[in-house]
Amino acid sequence: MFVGLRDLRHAWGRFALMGSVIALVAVLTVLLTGLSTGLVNSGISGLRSMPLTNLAFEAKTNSTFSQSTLDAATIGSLDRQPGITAEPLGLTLFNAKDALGNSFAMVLVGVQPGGFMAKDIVDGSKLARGSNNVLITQGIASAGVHVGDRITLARAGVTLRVVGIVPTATYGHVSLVYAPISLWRQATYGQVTGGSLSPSAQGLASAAAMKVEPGVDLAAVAKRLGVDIVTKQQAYAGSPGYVAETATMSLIIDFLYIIAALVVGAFFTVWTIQRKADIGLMKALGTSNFAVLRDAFGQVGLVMLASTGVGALVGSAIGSLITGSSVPFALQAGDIVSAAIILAIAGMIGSLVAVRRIATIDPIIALGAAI
Amino acid sequence: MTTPRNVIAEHRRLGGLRLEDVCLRYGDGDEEVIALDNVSLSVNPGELVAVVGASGSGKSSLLAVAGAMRRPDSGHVVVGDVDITTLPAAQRSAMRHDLIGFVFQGSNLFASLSALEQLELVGRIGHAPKAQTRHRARGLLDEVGLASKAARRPAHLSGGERQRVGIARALMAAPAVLLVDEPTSALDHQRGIDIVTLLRDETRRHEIATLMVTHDLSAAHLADRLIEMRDGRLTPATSATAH
Repeated sequence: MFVGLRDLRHAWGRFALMGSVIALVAVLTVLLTGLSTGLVNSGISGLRSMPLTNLAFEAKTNSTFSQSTLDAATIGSLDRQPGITAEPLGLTLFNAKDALGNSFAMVLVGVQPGGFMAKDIVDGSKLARGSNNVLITQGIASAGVHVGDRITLARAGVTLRVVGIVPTATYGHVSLVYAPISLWRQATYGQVTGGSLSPSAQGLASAAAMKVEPGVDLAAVAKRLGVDIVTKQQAYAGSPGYVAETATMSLIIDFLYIIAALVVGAFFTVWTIQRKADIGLMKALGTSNFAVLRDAFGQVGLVMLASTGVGALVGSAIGSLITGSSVPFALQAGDIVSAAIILAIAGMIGSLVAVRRIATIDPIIALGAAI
Repeated sequence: MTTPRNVIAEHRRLGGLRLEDVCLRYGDGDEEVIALDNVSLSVNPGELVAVVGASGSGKSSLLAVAGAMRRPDSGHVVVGDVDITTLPAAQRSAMRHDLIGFVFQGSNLFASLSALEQLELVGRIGHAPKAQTRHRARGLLDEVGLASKAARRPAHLSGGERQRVGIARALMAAPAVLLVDEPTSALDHQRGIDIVTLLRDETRRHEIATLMVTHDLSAAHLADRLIEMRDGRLTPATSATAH
């Protein structure tokens, strides 16, 4: 690094220019990573926070809550399987109005009061069996709905009474409202029958929330009971827009990595061409190919490390200003570090083109002769 | 443990520079050019030999072969007491550092390095201790009259000063052979004479075998021996010395 370091100092303007481009790419990468994480949180944070390991859906419904319906017998059978605890879980999107008549979208989640899916509250009281009480999230509470307020579900005509507040959780970017499963059935199936719940709707749920002990042959259980059983992570894909959103964000971030590799590769190729005489001179003075390559690669590494470091810091600072706003944005230290590392590695890979060129430079050019 | 560098160090200074029936060709078929045609030459320690000749006569090829940058098609090149003709690339590279010093046309210094660092780089290449390297570098800069300009980069040195740094750098690894390529090409007459005089003095002081190619006859006449090169062949010495 003897020459490489001094080149950095001597041609600092050129390296600063290139470094600032990489830093900007790093800023973009960090911000997009934050947006990606935020979108994921907004899409599936409700599901992710549920204390379950697996979900059972009606067969051939793509494991989505909106298409699946399970009856009480099936859920009961699941619960009786050795190593499995199962409870009904309902999940339906509603338009609702608060006490002041303001409309908002919500996902009504029906859970069994007292069961393992019962939510821990941060304010108010827990759900009681058979009531029209519900728990709202902090997200809805921050919009002006309070404990004791009433919420009316549009179309279903069911009125809910807010008794408690739970941590913010969303599904498909819509805030959750937790209700006893009986109330969820009334809201979901009662509207079909004009308010009263038909006997056939008794015991229905969208899916079964499951806690499964290790070693249980879930494939055999699913086959026997005619259901689809997926892990919690697999169920994320059923969230509206989740797959498209994550794929889009991943694609953009991947392109940024490719752009970084191309920018660094192009810069160092030009830089290597400009340094060709110096590299030839180093070799003529007896520097081994390995030492010349180490010098050049170290130079790339330092520029990448410094510029991605600065970019990641600036990106984090901007991200901290966005966090908490209406933009779905969430940054974790691990995400920032891994994004910076991947970016630096992409740059190093890009520079391999230039480094390969270095290996082929003939020391004879130091004699300045076309021989 | 015996390493290539150790072996080279043991043979240092034993025999100056010797080329025996060296041939070098470029291209093939109708396009073949004979750059060196059965060249034999011997330069003894403490001797400065000048090779003059027109452009394309083979002077640069001679330096390339003597400097372990090109492998001859036939013949032998012996530096110190080491036949470098068939050495593998890694050892030829080590050889260029340990046994051969180069003074290039137009000095050929690194723009980003100070005068002192130009010399220290040679020490770094040879993995010499830092303190020892710095001490020797300062001593050599003093020897060529540039002690006060050690911190200056090439852009802040005159053409003659840059060439002096180049000479000091070539001496840094205490080579057995010094190969000098057109040292006066970028200098006016008097500075050219000064530089070749310095080269001759350093050659004698350090007992180096110095081979200088030049088209500057007035500078060449300062050498101990003058040889002419024409169409890849060395003609017998036409002048023993001009001083």
